[in-house]
This record gives sequence, C-alpha cells and structure tokens, in this order.
Amino acid sequence: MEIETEDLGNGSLVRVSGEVDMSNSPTVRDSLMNLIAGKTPAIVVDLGRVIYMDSSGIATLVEGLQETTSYGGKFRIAGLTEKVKQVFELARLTDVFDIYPDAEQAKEGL
Amino acid sequence: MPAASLNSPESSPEGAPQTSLPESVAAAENAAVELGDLRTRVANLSRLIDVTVLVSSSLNLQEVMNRVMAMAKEMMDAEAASIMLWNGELECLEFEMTVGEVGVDSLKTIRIEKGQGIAGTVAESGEPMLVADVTKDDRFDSKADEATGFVTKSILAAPLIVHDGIVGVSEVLNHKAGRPFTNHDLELFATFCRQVAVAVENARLHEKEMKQSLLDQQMKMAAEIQRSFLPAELPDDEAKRFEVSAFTRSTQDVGGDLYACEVLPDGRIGLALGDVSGKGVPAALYMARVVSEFRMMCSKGDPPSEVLTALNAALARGKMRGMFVTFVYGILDPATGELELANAGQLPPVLARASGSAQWMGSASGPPLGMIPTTVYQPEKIKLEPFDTLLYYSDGIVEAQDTSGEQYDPHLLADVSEAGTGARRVLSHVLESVEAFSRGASQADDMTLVSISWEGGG
Repeated sequence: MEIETEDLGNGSLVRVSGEVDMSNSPTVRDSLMNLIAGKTPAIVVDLGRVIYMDSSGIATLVEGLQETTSYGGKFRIAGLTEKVKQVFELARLTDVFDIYPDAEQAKEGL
Repeated sequence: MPAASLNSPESSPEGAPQTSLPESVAAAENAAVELGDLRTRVANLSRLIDVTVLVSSSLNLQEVMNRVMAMAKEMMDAEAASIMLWNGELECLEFEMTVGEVGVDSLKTIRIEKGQGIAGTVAESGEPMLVADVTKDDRFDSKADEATGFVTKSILAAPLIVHDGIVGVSEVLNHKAGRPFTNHDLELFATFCRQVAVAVENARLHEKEMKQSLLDQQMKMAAEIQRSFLPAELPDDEAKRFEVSAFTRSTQDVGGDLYACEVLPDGRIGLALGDVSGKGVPAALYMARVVSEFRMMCSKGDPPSEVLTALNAALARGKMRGMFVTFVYGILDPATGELELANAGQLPPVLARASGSAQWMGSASGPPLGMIPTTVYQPEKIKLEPFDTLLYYSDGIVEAQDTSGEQYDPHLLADVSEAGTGARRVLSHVLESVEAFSRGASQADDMTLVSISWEGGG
C-alpha cells in the first residue's frame, strides 16, 4: 500500500494504491486525520489504484467522512476499481459516500 | 575460582620470616595494611558471589535493581549509584534506579544517547570507564547533576552486557573517603556489573513473559465472554415446523462475526447475522454492543426493517472510529412460512428451494449499521414453501481462497442447490464445500453460517 497527499489549494487529494487492510489502514487513517485536524475544507480520496480494501479500510473512510462532515467539510471518493466498486455496491456504501469516476471529476466544484 | 589466589603464601602474614625489632614493626605494619587490603578484597569477592546468588534468586526487575544498586554503593564505598537501561525503541539510556542522596524521579526524563556523556560513551564502546576527576574530562555531562543538585566528582561506569548486546550502564559516584576511584575499583565494579547484567536481563525477560502470558490469558477470557454473547443453544421445535443451524469460527481468539436467534413473544423466530468491521478486541467489543442492543430491540417482535433502522440510529451515535456492522435480520413465522427480511450492507442471503434450486434473496436496502444515523431500511417479504431453507453467510465464507488465490464466491449457489433440504443439511454441506475448497490455504477472515428451514405448517 502506498499513500500520498497533494495540496489542491481548496482542499487535499489523498492518493492510495495497492491493498488496504488491517495492517495498513491505520496509515491511511493517520493521513486523513492529519488533514481533518487542520479542518481541510475538502478531502478527495483517490482509490483508482486500490485493488483490494477490507472492512477496516472502509471503516477508515467512514470515519473520514463522519469527521469531515462534522465541521462542514467535503469528503469525496474517486476512481473505484471494479472489485472495490462491487463491494461498495453490494454493501450499499454508494448511499453513504460521494463517489466520482476519477480524481479530476471529484476535484471539480470543490 | 579467583579467591584462591588471595590465600597465596606471599600475601599471607603467617608466611613472614623472623627479623630484628624495627624491621619487625615495619613488617607488622605492612602486614596489617596487607591484611586490611586482603580483608576488603575478600569481602568484595564475597559480594560478587552474593550478586551471583542474586542472579538466580529474584526475577522481579525492580527488586533486582534495588538490591544490586544498594550492593554496588556499599561495595564501592560510593556516595551514590545508578542504573540506566537501554530503551531499544527510543535508542537511548534511561535512568531506572538510583541509590544515595538523589531520587530517580528527577532523572526519569533524562535520555542519554550513545556517545553522550560518560554513560553514553560506555554504552557505545561497551568498555568500563574510570573518570577520576570529572572536572578534567570533557565528556562529562552535568545534566543529571543539574536535575538533582548532586555534585559528581569521580565516576565508575560499566556496561551491562549480555550475549546479544548492551542492556544498560551502571555508575557509582564519588568515593566516600573523598579520594578518586582507582583502576582497582574499576576492575571490581566491571566484574560486578557482568553479574548484574545477567540478573537484570533475566528479570526483564521474565517480566516480558509474564506480561505476554497475562495478555494471552486475558484474550482467552475475552473469547469466552464473547462466546457468551452468541446463543448457547438454538431453538428446537417439538412440532418440527422449523429447523435452525449455526456455525462460527474466528481466525483470532476473538472475532467480529455474530449471529443471534430469538424466539419472539408470538412464537415467530428471529434470526440475524452480523459482521463487524475490523478484527480483534475492538471488533469483539463492538460485536458485544451490537448483540446486546439488537436483542433488546428485537424483543417486542417489531418488523426487521424497523429494528435495523432503530439499531442503526443507536450505533451511529457517538464516535466509534468509523466502525460499522453489516447485518441481516429475518423473522420466520413457523405457522405460515412467511418470512420477512431486512438487510444493512450484508451480502444477500441464499434461498435454497425444496425443488433443488437456489437464489439470492434480500439484498441490502441500505448501508451497514452505524454509518449514517438517519438511514431507513426497507423490508423484503417472501412466503416459503415447505422445506425451503434460508442461509446467511459472512464474507469470510465467500472470500475463502483456495491455494491458487481463487475465491469460493462463484461456487456458493451451486453448492447450496445440491445440498438437499433442511437447515442443518444445507449448512453442513456448504461448510464442507468451503473447507474442501480452501484446504491448504490459510483462512483470512472469520467464517459464520446460519440457516433456517421451514418444514411446513405442522
């Protein structure tokens, strides 16, 4: 799993790649909580290169969403790969998250 | 044993030859000095033996350090003694114990890196060190003196070395007679510290083992407590109108899967399966909360969709680090075969028809519980035919992998359809199939299966 954060000026883009599971979801959490601590107005999480995500990874995103919403910030998810998208659809997570086809589209209108 | 050399004839007063009077006085004085010196050395050696005994007599780290430091101070006739242990994580020495005028509390915050001050130099080189006069040694770091108000004049410092490296450094400060420490003192102190190192390391390892075994014990207790949140037994219908079966297995001592089976006040049967996000202790605690709240909320026999809506609202209150539970709840009326389901983010159950076909049923009408407090879940109803079976499964079942990394997922419907009828038979057939499929591959997730069959109105 790799993670990098990019400043968008009006928010931040968090690019995650690889497999997100119990062993590394705390790293993703640290990155998100860092941005949340600074009340970043918008966070876009690009999952375009995530090939697998377990429930601990999803919980991390849920927490990110809950925390961002609590101060009126935006939390968007972009670029679900086919397998991750399937999990999101089956579990109706599509009802929970603001999901965009890719990071470029997610950045629009921030 | 080195003590034998102390009894050698040349240093023994009984071995002195006959001489004239003045010579005799001088010889006697010399002999007395030698005797005094000898006594000290014998006493010191017997203290070394005491330390050796101590190595095997106590495994309490604090007690061992306390005793050896008191012994070091007395043996070296020093004003103070201290012991610093190496903290591998922070890569520094930390004060653990002092005896003498200064308390260790004022030193607790001081961290000494390798190469820093006298202790740091010893930790780096692994060699004992004598500083007869600290004012003449640039390496002396007065940080500890400043923290305690103690005035260090002369230091003996020795490493505590065990087979795989330095575990700490011990120091004695200021000879009580006001004289600087000598090389002879250093040799004795270094020998002493070799024994201390073994004692400290033994106590440290023992403490670590005790902590681990306590942790293991607590995890086993937690697992037992967690099991108590699952049904001790499943309802058995004397009229043979329905059959219920369940299986669960965790990959760790405690798991995140749960199931519940409740006989409702009107005789209908409530059956639920949940899968908590994450694993280990946090998942187990969350699971206990989910089961408790669910059992309370379902007890009146409200429709599954309403129970899930209420349960979700309760779980979504308060910060739970994003934790959630996928959950499916169904109620079977054994009198009519009517089944009502609601699903919160859980994989769709499988309906095994008595006719030998299988289909998905009751896919999620909303996200997992605990995410958004306002979610409203929708019901799904179906009238079962006699000997139809409904099967719930956790994702550990469909994500079970074979040795080539393929998932069991695509085989589930086919395996259910050929299982035959009855809750027990369907469950055991699927379990056997999953186990055969994933044989030789390690199980990554908790596995839970719950089934209920309607055997007709009775």
